[in-house]
Amino acid sequence: MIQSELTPGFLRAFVSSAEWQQQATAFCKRLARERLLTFAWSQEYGGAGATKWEQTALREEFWSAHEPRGAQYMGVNWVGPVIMHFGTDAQKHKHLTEIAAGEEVWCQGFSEPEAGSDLASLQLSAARQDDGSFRANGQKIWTSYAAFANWCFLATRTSRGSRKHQGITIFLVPMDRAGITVRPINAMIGANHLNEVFFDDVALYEDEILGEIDKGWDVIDVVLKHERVGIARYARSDKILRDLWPAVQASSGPGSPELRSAHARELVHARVARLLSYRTLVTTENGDMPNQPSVARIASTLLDQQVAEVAMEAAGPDAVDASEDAALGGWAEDAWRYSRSSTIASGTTEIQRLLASRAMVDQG
Amino acid sequence: MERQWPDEALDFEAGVRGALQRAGGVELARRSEVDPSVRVAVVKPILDELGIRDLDLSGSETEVAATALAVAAAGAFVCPWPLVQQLAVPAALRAEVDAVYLRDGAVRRAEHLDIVGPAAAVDIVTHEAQALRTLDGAGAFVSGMALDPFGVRCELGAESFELAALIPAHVVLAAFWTVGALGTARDLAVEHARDRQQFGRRIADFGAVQWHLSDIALAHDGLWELAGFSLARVIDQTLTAADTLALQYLMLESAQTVFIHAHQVLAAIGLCDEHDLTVLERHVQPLLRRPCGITRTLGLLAEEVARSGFDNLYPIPAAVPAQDRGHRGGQMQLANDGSGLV
Repeated sequence: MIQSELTPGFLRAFVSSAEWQQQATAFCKRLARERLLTFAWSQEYGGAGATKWEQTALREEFWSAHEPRGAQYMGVNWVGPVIMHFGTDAQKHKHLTEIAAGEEVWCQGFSEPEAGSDLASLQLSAARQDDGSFRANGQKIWTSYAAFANWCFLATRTSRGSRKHQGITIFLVPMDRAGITVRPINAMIGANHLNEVFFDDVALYEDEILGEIDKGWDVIDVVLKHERVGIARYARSDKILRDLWPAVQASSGPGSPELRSAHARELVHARVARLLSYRTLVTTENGDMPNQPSVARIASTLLDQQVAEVAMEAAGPDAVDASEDAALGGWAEDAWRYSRSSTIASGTTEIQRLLASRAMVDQG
Repeated sequence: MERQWPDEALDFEAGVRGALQRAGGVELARRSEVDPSVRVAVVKPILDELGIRDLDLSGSETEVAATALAVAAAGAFVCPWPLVQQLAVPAALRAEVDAVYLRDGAVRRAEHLDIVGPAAAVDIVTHEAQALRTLDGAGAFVSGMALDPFGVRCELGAESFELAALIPAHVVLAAFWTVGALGTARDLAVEHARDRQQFGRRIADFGAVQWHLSDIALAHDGLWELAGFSLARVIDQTLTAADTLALQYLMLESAQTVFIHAHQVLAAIGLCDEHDLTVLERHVQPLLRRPCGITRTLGLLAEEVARSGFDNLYPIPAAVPAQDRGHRGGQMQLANDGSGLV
């Protein structure tokens, strides 16, 4: 289905144009019709009730094809499950139905200029008004897919408690609401990938709050748990290693044995990253070993970068040439640029290392 | 992919761990280094009491699991006995070969060779297996070398065997032994990071130390998972030569990572003879350095991938059809019915 529904040029790391976004939307609607979009969700919420292993197989296919669902993977992977966890009946009815139908594209309004890894320091304010509504003022940044999204999963500060984790509230906000401005940030990982989002006196309403007011950190905690295990990152690296194989095998002359060794080493690392991810699938359900999701994520994100380096080596002097007549068809530099964001997006490697080590130390 | 260890195997592992702990844990290795007769006088009776040496890697699925877990439990204390070399030999063959060693060409030293019965060494490339005997006669010892504390000078004998299928068994058990030792090294580092106070707080709160601990966790857990994956392929008889070399490679890489980072966390105290970390690291070296090091292993893996492919999520195709590959590309041939080699 991936091969038949999408043009070959789509199958790169970055969905960087409105045209490709339209393809992703059409692809998601096709998936939705076949109940493959929300494959693992229960039938009650428009899913197919697939097992976690069936869902994993699907994720591996999608991620190795550079995520043809575009931004909608977020709705399926963590927005929907978190709404199932914290949402009101009305929120569940509206959003889960529409996500399952491939109608809703979400962006994550978390990071701010002064609140990146230290997310709990976020400052975008949502001040209560006399009529019970709220007014949001402030800025989000690094917001993927904001230009295409029709909903924002917005983290705001509604009060200041004794701890910075208190006083945070999550709102589910339509992106076409007055006062929201999206400004794309051009970056080496592709146009339209990163954005700034400005909120100028944006009206928010009580029925848009997810979970309890001032207790949004409880929601974020669940978001992060879903987000960190919801992507089969290793699958893309695994496929790149297979795609590289003809060039690696055919290489000759100085450096060839070293290239073959580097490729073999990453085959081992790819296998290990997959095994660690599979372990996390089992143990997060059992509540065992809280460091395991972070360990798996570190393995997969480092793999992205190591494999991209092998791809650049295999491409030789054409490594920086993105044209189709370059060695490997010019895709090595695309994989390499993407890999630069792997250890930063969705929680930096440093945060993962902190979480992993803290869990080990605190277990004793 | 959802592996669950049989309860019986886990109980056995706990029994081994408890017995070795009560006998002194890593101290057994330290004592044996000073007085090598401790191995036969003290260690052997403990192992026999537990029944470890009767385990058979060609037995039932539960027995295979118990074997791997018991070896990991022994590795956790670098128990001074050649369990890997002995348990790699199917029970049905032990009257003929009591212990198997791996070699890459010539062989000069083999650990614990003075306390095993008839031994053989298998070449990891040519697969030729020959008798292995001590140079100085029975009872000859002792190395006294820091990184080869139980190494015995040896030479190949004239008698030859067909033991190529024991290579993967040896590698899988060596990986479990090593990951056991790495687990202890990890625990020592974590404990030290938790307890050690500097600049008014525990050192676990420093980012640089957290970085070391997470690298240790990644290396240890990765090897544990790959060892388990490989063992599952031993059980269903699908372990390939490339799988074996991949495990051998990761064992070497993980050991380097864990010990380097554990030393950085523990600093000078970890280098002292009285500290378990240094004993663990020194005593595990013979298994890591023989038959060959990490660069050579990776080169062999690359050659094997080119020859027979690699079964990842997106498989690397084999250059040579399976039926033409002979021993080297073939799957591990250990029967699970207790009959030894097939």
